[in-house]
Formats: sequence, structure tokens, C-alpha cells
Amino acid sequence: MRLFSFHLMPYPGLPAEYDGPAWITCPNALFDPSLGTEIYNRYLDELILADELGFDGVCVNEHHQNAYGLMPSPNLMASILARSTKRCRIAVVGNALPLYDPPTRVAEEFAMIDCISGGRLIAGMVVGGGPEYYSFSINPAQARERFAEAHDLIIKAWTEPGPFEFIGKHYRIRYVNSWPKPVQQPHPEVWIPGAGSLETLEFVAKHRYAYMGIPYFHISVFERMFALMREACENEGYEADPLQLGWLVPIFVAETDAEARSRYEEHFWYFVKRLLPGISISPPGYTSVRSLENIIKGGHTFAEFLETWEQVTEGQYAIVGSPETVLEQLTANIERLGVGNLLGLFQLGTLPADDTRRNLELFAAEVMPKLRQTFPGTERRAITGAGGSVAAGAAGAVA
Amino acid sequence: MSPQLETRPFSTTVGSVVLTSGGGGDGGDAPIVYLHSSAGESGADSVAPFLELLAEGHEVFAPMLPGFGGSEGLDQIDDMEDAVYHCLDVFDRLSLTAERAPHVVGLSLGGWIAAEIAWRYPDAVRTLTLVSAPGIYVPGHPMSELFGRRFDELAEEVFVDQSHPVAAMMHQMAAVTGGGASMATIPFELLRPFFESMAAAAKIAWNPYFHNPKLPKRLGRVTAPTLLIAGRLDKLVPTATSSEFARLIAGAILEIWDDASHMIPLEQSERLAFRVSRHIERATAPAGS
Repeated sequence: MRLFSFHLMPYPGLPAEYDGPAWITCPNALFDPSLGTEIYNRYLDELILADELGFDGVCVNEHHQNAYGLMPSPNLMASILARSTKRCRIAVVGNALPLYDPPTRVAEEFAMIDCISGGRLIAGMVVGGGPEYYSFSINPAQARERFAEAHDLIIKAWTEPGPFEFIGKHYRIRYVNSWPKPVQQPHPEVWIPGAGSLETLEFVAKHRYAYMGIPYFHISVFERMFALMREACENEGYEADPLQLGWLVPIFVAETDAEARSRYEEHFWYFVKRLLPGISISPPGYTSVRSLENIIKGGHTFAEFLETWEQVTEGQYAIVGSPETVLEQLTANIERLGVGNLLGLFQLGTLPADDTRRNLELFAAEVMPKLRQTFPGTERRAITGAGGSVAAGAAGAVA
Repeated sequence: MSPQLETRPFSTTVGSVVLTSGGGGDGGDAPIVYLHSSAGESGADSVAPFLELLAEGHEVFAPMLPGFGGSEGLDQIDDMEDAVYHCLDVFDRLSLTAERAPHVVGLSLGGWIAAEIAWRYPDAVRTLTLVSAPGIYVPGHPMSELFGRRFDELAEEVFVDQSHPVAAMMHQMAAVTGGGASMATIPFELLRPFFESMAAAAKIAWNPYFHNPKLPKRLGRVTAPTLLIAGRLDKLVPTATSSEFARLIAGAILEIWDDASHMIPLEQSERLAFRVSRHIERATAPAGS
């Protein structure tokens, strides 16, 4: 088991009277730059604290033109973390490849972060959220093929000697010759986040990457998603390693169950009722029709539609309580889901700095050591098969 | 008694598409091709009355474009250029060339495609009727958002009569999708055509959004007698777009109907069919008659 602290860097200052979406059309007049200065620095401190407390890694991600997550460039945050953290992995989960043109930019920036951090980068690659296709006017009906082509180009830029010419359908570059190259060879570990699209699961399984289940669904939806992932790996002729699976979940620890809920609940509701609205827009062609059918099955369990705390607890949308409760629920769910990466959101919505710090400290002191005892492995086992071998940590099969 | 139309698979270069056709009248004049909107209505009951009325005087062909309503080949359509050449392929395979170059009637997206065919190959189109057509960006008159909208909002923008069966269905679907929580309670087969149509339309019209920046400087090439019809109540495509088409196509006739919205072939089938027939008659009447 590897333990990560994931930060969304949410905007906590939406006024009470604003009841519109947090995405695409959320007026940027609502953004207060002086609050921006405060929270960016505070959020970075919270990730640096996670490193000091012994987390295996920290995670940042990419979203645009929204109040949900203020990281249009996760690579900027990762480059700061590369300097100011010492031991932990830095997972960028991920760069939305179709939004980079040419995508060699991703190969370059990831290689920079890997060099600066001395080989601690986890290279996340993602199709991008539905709202991003509105914000960038990139054609969503070509999202998947752009993603696949950009991925091939990036991996090739890292693994094949340059200069070479790349001629694809969407990207044609006469001279690909990435300077710098990543420290990790053949290239950094690749993570792909997803919300259950079958194409994504099959892509991850084929390349033997790791799949990060996107949160905010009922636990049974994760269970089905990871079962599909294991099945996709079997179809590729190998058994999925738990470290190929990651579960992202909000976590809050306090002294007692009652205190945890009373300190946490309002911030959780700010998150689901104020920051999630608008996130699930699915532009045309962004998801194949066969995947849509699959995703819609779980759609009604999306956290935005939660009404009561009992529903939150029942569906394990957030793990909240005393150290004992949190340990017990995490252990049960990790076993149930069979995941080897736990990606905790220790700050959510409007959760203030002192509560976030206490949360991280309590988790690190009381929960982390016991989870590590119960779930010891932290290295990917070598996989051999038709697609070649995969060294621990690095994904091998190159398109 | 209107002629019955039949719907069947039809082989094209990009794959098998769904083609609705029939009628013929006295067989003297060129056929009519109907190009559908982003709703992919060709072959559906909703547009059948309009097509049947047209078929009283002309042979009518209404192909479903790739990706719409069971037509294959969307993987080979990336932009307007591909859509245009697919349509020309269909024309060729139906022998709708030379003297049989068709009268093309297009609704919305289909109207835009028809205009794009008409400037590239002026002889490929006998007459042109563009209904509620986008395709030109008119500053100050942007087209509203089609993609990702709630069904009920969209119905309000494109229908005059919210009790029209299609509008009513859109309201019904919105009632259960309000917020999306109950999406799973709708049989997926009801949603599938909608998702497929929007994905196919997005291939052509996502960006630039329902327009071709070069179209204004190309439309001078159009030689087909052109009729533009727009509805004053259309909240999706502004009537200013049709006015601009009329300004740029030599001799074009512009009609803006006060009591019409966007889906005119569905809501005013008789009036529109009559108007299209008269346009064709006048345009093809021997000189001096």
C-alpha cells in the first residue's frame, strides 16, 4: 500500500448568494486574487507537510476555469513541490493531454519535474474533464483519439532517441527531440485517472499503467469500476497488481467520531453542493455510447445528489471519524476494492488550515502506521507477458 | 394521398448509411434531397409528413449522415469538408448529377452543409432551400449553445409549440434528468439516439462553432436559386444569419416567418412544403413563361 495526500486546491470563497455552477461559466469576478495568494501558499504548505509526515506521495491535478480546483497548471505546483519536498513521490494526476498542442510540452515539463525532483515524478495523463472541452473549445468528439496519439508521442519522446519526425493525425512535428529527458528510465510511472469509461480501462490495462478511480461515487460504483479494471488486465493476459489501482477519497480524522463530523460536515457540503455542480457535464462524443451506458448506471450515486450525512456514511463518500473508525473503514474498503494506492483528500471545500493540519497529523500518527502493517507492499511486482516486462515502478509496454 | 416513403440501408464509401426515399410525382423534374439537422430527424416520424408532401411532386431522398440514426462511417468524418464529400458521394451513387442534380433542402446543420456543397460545386445543386441554417458568424448575433443543454431548455429554443410531440418528449426527459440524478431511470435506448446525434454533429460543428469563417467570401460562387427561411421565434440560430446568407448569395430570397421557430419542417410541414415546391417551380420554369 502506498499512501498519498491529494490536494484539489479548491476555492473556498464562493459567496452564499451564488448558486450557479462552479464550472465553465462561474463568473471569475468571484475570484479574489488576495485570497488566491493566501490559499495557494497554504495549500502548498499542506502538501509539503504531507511529505514531512511520511506520506509516500502528494498529488496535484489539472482543471480550468472553475472554482473546484485552482490548478490550471499542475506542473507549476509540481515544480514547486519538486524543490520543497524531500522524499515523497510527486504525482501529477494528470496533464490533460488533448489540451496541450503540441503535447511534446508535456514530455518536456514532466522531464523537468523529474530532473528537479531527482526522479520522484509520477506522470499522470488524462483525457481532461468534460468542462475543459467547453473552456478550450477542443473538439470532444476527438478527445479519445487525441489523447491516445498525444500519449504515444510523449512516450516516444522519452524512450526513443531524437531527433525524429512524428506524423500523426492530430500532431505532426518535424523534429521531436526532447531536452531534458526524465531521470526515471525508461520513463516515469504513468497513472491514468478515470470515471469508468471502458476505453480508458482498456487503455490502462493494455499499457500496464495504474488506474486512479475518480471519487464522489457510491463505494459500489468503485467496486464495479475496479472489477472491470481487473477484467481488462485479464483480457490482456495478466493479473492486475493492487498498485495498479488507486482509490481517491476524502478523509477526516479527529479525536472522536462526533467531533470529526461536527468539524467536517459543513465543509463537505460546501464541496458537494457548491463546487461539484457543473463538473459532470459530458460534451458530445467525449465518452463513447457504450461507456455512457455503463457510466449512467452509477450516475445517480454521484455525490452532488447526496442529501443526508447518513447517505454519505452509507456510501463511503468520505471517511470521517476517530482514528479507530477511519482505520477500520479504510481497511475494510481497501480490502473490498483491492487497491494498492490510497489517495486521501485531507483538505476539502472550505476546510480551514488548522483542521487540515490536525487531520494530516492525526492520520500520519494513528492511521498510517497500522495501514502499512496491514498492507505492506509498496513496489509494483514485475509482470511478464505478451507486452514485455515491467520493472517495478515503471510501466514498460510502449505503444 | 401522400406517397409512402421507405427507409433502407444504403452503401456509401464510408459505410452503410440509412436512406429514406420515395415518391416521384410525374418524374419530370430533378429529385429533392433533404439534409437533416443535428437532431438526425430524417427517417423519424416527426419529419415524415413534410417529406411525404415533398414526395407528391418529386422523388425525395433523405440520407442520414454518418453517425446519425444508425448510419456508419463517423470515424471517417472529422469536419465539414468530410461531410460535404460524403454527401457528394451519396449524390453520385444515386445518380443525382448533371440534369438530375438535386434540389437541396437543408434544415439547420443540413442547410449549412447544403451551402457548403453549393459554393464548392455550383452545378451539383439545382436549387437551394436553407431552413434555420447556421454557418456564418454574425457579430452581435451569436448562435445559442446546443451542446450539453438541458432537453427542456433546448425545446423552448427550437419549438413554438411546447406540446408538439418531440418538444413534449424533450420536456419529459428533462423532468427526469433535472439535475441528472435520475438519468439511470430512463431506458438507455431512448437516450442513445440523442447522444449519437450530438456526437456526430460535434465532429462537424464544435469549433468553429456552427460556422465556417471562410464561408462569407465563398458564397458569391453559389449559382443555384436560393431560398432562405428563418423563424422569428428561433432562439437557437438568430435570423441575422439567414439575412447574411441572403446578402451574400446573389439573387437569394429571404423569408422570416413571424410565427415560426427553428424546427420548421416539424411544426409547419404544409406551409414549408408548399413554399419549397413553389421555389422549385419558379426557379425551374422555362425562361419567359
